[in-house]
Amino acid sequence: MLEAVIFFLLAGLAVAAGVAILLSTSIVRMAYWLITMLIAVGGLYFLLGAYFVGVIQILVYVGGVAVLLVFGVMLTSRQLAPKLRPGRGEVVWLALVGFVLLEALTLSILHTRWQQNAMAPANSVGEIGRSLLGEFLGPFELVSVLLLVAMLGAAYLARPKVPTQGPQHAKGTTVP
Amino acid sequence: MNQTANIKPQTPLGQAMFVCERPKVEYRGLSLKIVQLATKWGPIGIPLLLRFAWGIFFAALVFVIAFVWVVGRFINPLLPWFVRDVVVVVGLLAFVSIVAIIGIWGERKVSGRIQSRLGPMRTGAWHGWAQSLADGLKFVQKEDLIPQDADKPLFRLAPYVALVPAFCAYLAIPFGVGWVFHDSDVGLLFVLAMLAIEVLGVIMGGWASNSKWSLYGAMREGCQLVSYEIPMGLSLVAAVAWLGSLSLVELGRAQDGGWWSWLLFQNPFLFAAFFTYYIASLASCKRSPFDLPEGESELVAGFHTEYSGFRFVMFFFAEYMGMFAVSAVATVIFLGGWNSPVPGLASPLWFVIKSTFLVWVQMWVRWTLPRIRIDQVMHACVKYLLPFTLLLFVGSSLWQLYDNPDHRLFEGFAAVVRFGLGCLGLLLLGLYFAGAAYGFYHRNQLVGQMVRKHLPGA
Amino acid sequence: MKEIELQYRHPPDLLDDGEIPSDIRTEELVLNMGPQHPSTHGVLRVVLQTDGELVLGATPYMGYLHRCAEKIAEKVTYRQFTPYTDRLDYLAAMNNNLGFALAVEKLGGIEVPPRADYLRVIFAELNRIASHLMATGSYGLDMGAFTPLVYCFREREWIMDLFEAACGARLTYSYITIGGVREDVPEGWGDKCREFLDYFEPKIAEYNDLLSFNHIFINRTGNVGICPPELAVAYGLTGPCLRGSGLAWDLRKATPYCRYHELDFDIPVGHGENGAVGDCWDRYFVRVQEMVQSVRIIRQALDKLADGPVQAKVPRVVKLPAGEVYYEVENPRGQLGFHLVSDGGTSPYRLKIRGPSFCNLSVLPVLAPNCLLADIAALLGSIDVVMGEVDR
Repeated sequence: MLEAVIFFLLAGLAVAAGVAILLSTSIVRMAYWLITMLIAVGGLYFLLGAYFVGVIQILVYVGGVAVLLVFGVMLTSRQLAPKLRPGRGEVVWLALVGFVLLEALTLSILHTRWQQNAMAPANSVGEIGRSLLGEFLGPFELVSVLLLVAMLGAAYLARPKVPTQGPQHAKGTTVP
Repeated sequence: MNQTANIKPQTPLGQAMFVCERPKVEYRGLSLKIVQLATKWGPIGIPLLLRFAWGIFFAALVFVIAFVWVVGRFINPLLPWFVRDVVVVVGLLAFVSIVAIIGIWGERKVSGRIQSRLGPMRTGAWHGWAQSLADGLKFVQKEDLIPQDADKPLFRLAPYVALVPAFCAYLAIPFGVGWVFHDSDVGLLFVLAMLAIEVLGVIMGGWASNSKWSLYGAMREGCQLVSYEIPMGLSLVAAVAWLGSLSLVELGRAQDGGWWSWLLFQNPFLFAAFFTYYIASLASCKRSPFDLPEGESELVAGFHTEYSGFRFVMFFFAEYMGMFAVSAVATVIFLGGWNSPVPGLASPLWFVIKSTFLVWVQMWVRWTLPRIRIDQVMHACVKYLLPFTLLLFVGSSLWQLYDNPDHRLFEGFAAVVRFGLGCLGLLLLGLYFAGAAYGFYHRNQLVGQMVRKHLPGA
Repeated sequence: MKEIELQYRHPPDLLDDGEIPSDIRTEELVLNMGPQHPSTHGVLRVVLQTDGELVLGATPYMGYLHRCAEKIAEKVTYRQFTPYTDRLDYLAAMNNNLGFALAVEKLGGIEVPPRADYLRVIFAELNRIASHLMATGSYGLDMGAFTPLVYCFREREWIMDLFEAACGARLTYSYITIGGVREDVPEGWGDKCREFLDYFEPKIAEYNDLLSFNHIFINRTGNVGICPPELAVAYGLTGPCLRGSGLAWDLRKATPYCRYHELDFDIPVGHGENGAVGDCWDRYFVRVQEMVQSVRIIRQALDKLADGPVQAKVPRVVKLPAGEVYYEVENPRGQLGFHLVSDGGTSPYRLKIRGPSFCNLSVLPVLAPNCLLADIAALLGSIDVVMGEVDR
């Protein structure tokens, strides 16, 4: 009973936050709605008993990705922050893409054979670790390479733009 | 804009004479009530309170301890689980509030003593113990100002986003065996996750204030925290890999049996990992020398420049709760948690003592060291701390691989090293106490004749 | 969407060198530092152009503490102007009094008795110590180290006590007046002063351990805000800012006034121990070393202090012959100059004051570009301006 109430609370929050992302025009608000949604989904994981996944969801997505996202968005000037409103031409193909995506998701949800009583394995941390470094070692390493490439790209973009003269310390400073 | 419009006189006479009226400031909320109550009962109540401050203090202490004991021993087992949870959460809330209140007062006393001052001495009769309470009362009375161009909902929300996760971290922190709200098998990660959410509140407040200084504070907080989470996590991973559990209760329980079985003294890599964790945790709580997000000589007050009243206090509380939380994690993982230095005296008291000691070291560092510059913060993390913690992790894992009966020679060597580290730990502690005793004995000399002359009692 | 013209410091076509796409280029942030800011040491306003943490340009604006001191001088008598000099550089009021008194005495040809001269040296140097204590302590505060400030204030307090014993005031003394000093020091004052010096000298080593040679402090200040000697001379820097750039120029040696030529002391200069010559650390450390030299000077002056009058015979209303004089003395912050023009009346026809802080501040826009935001605090603190003197 209580679990159902909590589930509907969290699920409702996640859905509402998702809708709010679509409806809000301020890019920073969007980021915060996204964070709300991520936390709500993390709560759902907790409810399922998958503590590890839930905690990692919060630690990585909220603590890492979302902070970086907000951090990036924050650097846009408040007065000059673009209000995100699609143009008339964009609406058409945005709707098209959205429809295709919705259809794909709906079909995949409908045609998956859902396992009843989905519960996380007892020792979830160990299981996840073993499967990551055993069964899924290839994809795991590929993802690492992808992240490395992304990091190098970011470092390239973030290098100091203003030429520095003289022995000033600012040479080589990564400007945050 | 409305207020500037109000300045224009409305009446014909006023228009003729152009009487410039000050716009009326509306005081809202709790503040007015408190001021009314204070003016009505203050003249009677406050002197009485001060006269019996000692007694009230001790009575409250005894009452709280008795209450906790009675509730824990008799009442809690009878209650249904959700009521029990509420009771425990309220108890935790009281504990962390006391931590924050005593922490703020303690910081002022510590800074005072370090700076050859006395710190707060008046409020509450005994060494100004009620100073934080008085400050809290003052802050509650202050007007809750919101800058006109601020993003109001986010501005209002930010202190809560900072405070609530800092409190939530305590839900997984064990004070002893059985003294934990929820013993999860990923308790450590839960605490780290909650401390990571706290950053969001700071960034939110900094951005929503619509002040450039706040924005700079939030930016610094963001890049500093995201960077230092990695060495912090890696230092902890070395410890976690050694004991093979993410549950804080398990981690604490595994270190039972005297100070030589604490994780800190198991191998040199873990010994170093404790210090890297501590440095990284300083950065994650925005403590000096990493207090750039609020560095007052550069950024006025950083992310909370625009905050006033109780919202400001909430940021403050979050900071002190975070300080204690990271110290508690260090205590549980490296310093044996609630286990006593000699076997058989395990008690939550040890946990509180060790964590408090680490908090005091944070204060000590704050009032001693200058602040690091932002590029140096980043360099220190990426160039030194991160590779070093990676090395520690690998080293600790290799050590574990060879420290078993299959490798007799290495096992003997490891035992000798462990003994040496234990002795080193004792030596450090002894040096600390010797230094403290010397300082206490010579504090008049340190304070200088000037102060002694003016304050005979100091 | 409203189109807003973006103001670029560098024109877009200059920056667009084919490497940085124009759509990810960032704009600059104009940051208004002051007039209410903890590390501007008063009511200085600096407008910073920043790119993230990087400062691209700094423009100081002043005038928030302008009190028309030079114009007031034309309306009051010479004696009446002495209290106004207290308020120029309020951290070194004795030195200001000394400069004005010397200027008037030179124009009027007034001889000062030797005891008064030595007392002037003692008080000027004590005030130099007090001022440098304030500068070094608040520099620590700018760097985020709170504690040295309080220690420095503790010592400064003793100097204030000594001043209070001599003249009754703790900040604005008006003690060194035209023709000598206002009154003799009380009995036993010299011993108290020696006691202070004995106490103070070892404390300097303590500050060095605590702050000057602190690793973080050196990293924050070394190689930051480098002012080469040519730049220092070109911008008319004086005092510790000039000596920090490695030039041994001190008016107490170059054109000795009072009895400085009879006293033995060194001129500390910056050597660039922790970076280039003329960085913030050098300027800071010159001040610390000057305190040691001041202690030496005071000891010698106390030894030479003989009994005698402390005031020359000067009428109550000073009347100077027509003419003009320019007199400079070495203040804690640099050379304080008084250009005095007299038409033979009881008040100056015109008085122009050369404030060292004003000239030292002028180098800020040159040094500030390509610093980080935190370095602006380091720079301002090492230049050590007192706004009362900048604005006058």
